[in-house]
Amino acid sequence: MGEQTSSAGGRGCARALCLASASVAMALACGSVQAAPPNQTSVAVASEPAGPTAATGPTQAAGPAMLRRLSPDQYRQTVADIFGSDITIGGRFAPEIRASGLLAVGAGNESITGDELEQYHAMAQTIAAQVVDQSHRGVLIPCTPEAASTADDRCAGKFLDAVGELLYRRPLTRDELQVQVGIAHAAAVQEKDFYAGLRESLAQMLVSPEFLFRWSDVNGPLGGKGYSTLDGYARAAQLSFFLWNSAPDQTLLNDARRGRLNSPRGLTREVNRMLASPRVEAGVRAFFSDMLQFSCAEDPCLDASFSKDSTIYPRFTPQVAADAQEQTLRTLVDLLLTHDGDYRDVFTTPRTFLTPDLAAVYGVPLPRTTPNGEPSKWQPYIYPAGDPRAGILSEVSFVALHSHPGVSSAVLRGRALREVILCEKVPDPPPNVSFKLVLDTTNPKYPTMRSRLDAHITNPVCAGCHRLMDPPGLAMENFNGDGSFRTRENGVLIDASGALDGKKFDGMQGLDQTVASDPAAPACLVSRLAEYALGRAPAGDEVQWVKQLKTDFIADHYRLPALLREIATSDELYRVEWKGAAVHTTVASAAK
Amino acid sequence: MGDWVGLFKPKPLFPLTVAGISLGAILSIAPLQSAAGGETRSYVLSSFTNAAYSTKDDCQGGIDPDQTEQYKLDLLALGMPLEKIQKVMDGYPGFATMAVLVNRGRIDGKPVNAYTNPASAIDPKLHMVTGHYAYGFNLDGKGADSPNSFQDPATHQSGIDNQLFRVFGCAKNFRGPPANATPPMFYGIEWSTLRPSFPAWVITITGDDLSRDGPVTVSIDRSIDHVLLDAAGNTEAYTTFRIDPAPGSVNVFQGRLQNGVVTLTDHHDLHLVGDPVLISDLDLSQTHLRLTLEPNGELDGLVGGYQPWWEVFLPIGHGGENFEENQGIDVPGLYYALKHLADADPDPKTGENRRISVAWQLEAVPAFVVPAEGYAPPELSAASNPK
Repeated sequence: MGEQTSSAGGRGCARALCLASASVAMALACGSVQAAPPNQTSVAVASEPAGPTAATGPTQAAGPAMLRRLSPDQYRQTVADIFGSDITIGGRFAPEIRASGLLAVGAGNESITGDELEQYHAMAQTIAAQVVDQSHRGVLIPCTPEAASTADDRCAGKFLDAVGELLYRRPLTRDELQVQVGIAHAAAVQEKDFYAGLRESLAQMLVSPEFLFRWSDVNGPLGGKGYSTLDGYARAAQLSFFLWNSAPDQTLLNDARRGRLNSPRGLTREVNRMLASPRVEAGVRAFFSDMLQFSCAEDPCLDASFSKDSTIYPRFTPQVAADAQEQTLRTLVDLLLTHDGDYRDVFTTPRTFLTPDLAAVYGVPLPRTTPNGEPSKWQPYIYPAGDPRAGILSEVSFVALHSHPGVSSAVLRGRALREVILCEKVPDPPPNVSFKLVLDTTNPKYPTMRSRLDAHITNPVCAGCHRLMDPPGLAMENFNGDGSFRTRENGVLIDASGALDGKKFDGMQGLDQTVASDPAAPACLVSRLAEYALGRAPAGDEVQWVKQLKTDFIADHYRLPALLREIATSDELYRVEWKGAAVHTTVASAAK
Repeated sequence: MGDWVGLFKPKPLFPLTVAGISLGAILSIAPLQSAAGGETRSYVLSSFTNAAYSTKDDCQGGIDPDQTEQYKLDLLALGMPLEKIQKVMDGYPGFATMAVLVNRGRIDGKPVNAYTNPASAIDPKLHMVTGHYAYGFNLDGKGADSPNSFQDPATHQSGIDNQLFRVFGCAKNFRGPPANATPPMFYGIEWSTLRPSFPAWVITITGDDLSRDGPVTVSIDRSIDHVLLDAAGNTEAYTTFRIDPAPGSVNVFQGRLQNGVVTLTDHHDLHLVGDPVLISDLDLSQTHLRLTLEPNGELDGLVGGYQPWWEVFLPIGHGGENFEENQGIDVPGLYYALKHLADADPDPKTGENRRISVAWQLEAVPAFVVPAEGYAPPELSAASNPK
């Protein structure tokens, strides 16, 4: 903390790259790789995998630079922030990769295939066409061409320069701007339409790697320290995507240009501004969506899915699936941001939000507040004292997501608790294990999940891991695979007693209390948030930094905003490993 | 962000048997409690159709023909030559043909719309049920001595008054099991299609302990909310319905629970505002109920009484040729049948009965029923409420 660095441009800048070959191929295919900004050299800091890395020992000061593809949400939010929320994006984004429990970490492993590039291209064309259409050009384009039927380089340059800075999250170089104006000129002349020219140039920028990937531009080596620091614009992007899940706004870019983000004082001031902004909610939502694996609700994952058999769980409608994620996010935002509450309380809080559809699954009365046929409004709701449901683990977004389509799963829930909430790693099951016994709910010999699991783990190969997963998972057995409450399975009273690392309890309430008092839970949040911010596992000195974050989180009474602030103002967030790798003059030449 | 609401959460309805226990007290609902009011279960109707117990030989005159055949008979009754009938029907369902069919009524010898003027058409004399069995109730209290009465196949009670079954029972889409593979199609499909778009009907049963025999209070109300559909397309259970405070659809009866079946001990009138396409109003006198609390938490059974026959006719009559073609029942024929078989409430002037004995079959799923806090029914505008 508090490390002084020079302002951007104050020393010879360098671009640290961790280019996967596919990304390079994509960049070439786009034909959009630009020369590095003047005064900068680009450095290929290669060889480290982009994904999680183990701590590499005391000699390593920082982890590798990351090249991260924008997530679909970041893409959408960025476009909305720059051009307005009425701009339709359409298209379908490429699947994301989860690594080390986070999509944000997997983003460092992502490239763009040819097919995916086509999708990006289609989206870019759709967006660009709307930006320059009659209804938007008056607001979004800051000048009027001398003649609409031909090129106007002055006006085009003004627009492209301003938009380019927001899209690339740094000012365009003179060469880059010249290229973009040239594209606009040629297209305008060819189509005899100034706006068609802008459309083509803008669409081209929207498929540029400079937009689609987050780069790690650095200030160059810090003498003998083994790492370099991100330059001002890379810091701005790091901050903005971390706290707002979107690209930097103009204020942040201006501060980057003035070098204010390189000083602790300037950085703290800017972080405080960002944390005070309502946009921080988007950042918090994005993080928890990632951590809690909500992407699996839309694209089913191996062990987590919202695909439910409608004959078994008729109340689990598509609306319930959508509302379930939103319920948990609202619960978290309300507790952690609105009320600046203790993170441990997310496991026990009776305060939540419901819609009538969700209330039907929960079996609680919730009068509608919107006219018939209109989308339901969210209503604050407090679980009554003694209710078996409290905290996010008892919500549909957890117990239903970590269940099978037609039956609950103590194993999946127990594993998710270990891996998602406590950051432990449970080994995958060995191959050729039959789960038939566990999933057969019709066998009268084994009417309950507990009895089926007891029979299943007679196999000693399975027993080891099941001892980790089953005891906490069985405590959630009062919840059906759709998240609704039950007391019996196949007519037999459910024994929801459970245990976690030697602590015994009964049912979800006991589990909630146990998790809330387990130091591993807040420690896991800190680790995940640090990895989310870095885009990779901490390495070298960063490991100690995370330990300090955990200590400080306890001292701050487990308050999320304080943790966000500490991470965002940490030098570690803006350092990358410096290996003194071969110097290249441009990204393009590196690609070639 | 609204105020936090600490709503009481009742125990799950199923498999636990206690539904909204004390819900009324907690929510300040004052619905309809019995004197003791120890346990309340609420439901929303998920199905509503004419009660039909159709047997193989219950229509000695046969099943009503398809409507295209019936049209030919209607035209023949008008005196139209067979050749012309064939020519007209060759153009079916073209505009010219439909104009002839729709306007098969006659007033002063001139063609008029047979649906808006059903008495102007010749009575095609639909087939009536001649069988021995029908679901329903002994409404007139005469038992087996009641003329034209049936025996209920479920309770074996004699003297069942259900002339609506006699009217509908020989029309294909109004017939039900066991002779028919499916429940009556007409009301089944109409209810299924319309239910998400009209205010729901809800039932609340309150008693000391609904797992034991004893007195109960039964409330039948209209909600201001529509039903929601679940992932299987059925009426979603455990959703919440606000009661329409308009007094026109609030009904409270005293009854008795015995062996899991709720019946009424008072039989006053019932009124529920319905949907104009399905059943515009459900007005019953001598109201009877037989509702079974099913082990799966649902409710099914019958509601019956004497209903103005015009209420039954009106939605079908308004459906005109579409209902005739799709549901296979001749509209003027239905008019005459209902009128002739009406068996209660004679008009003091004409002596003609204005009500017909009915039994409707219903199914309901568990729901929460609460007052409509802060809801005021829309006032009639000056234009629609002239003084």
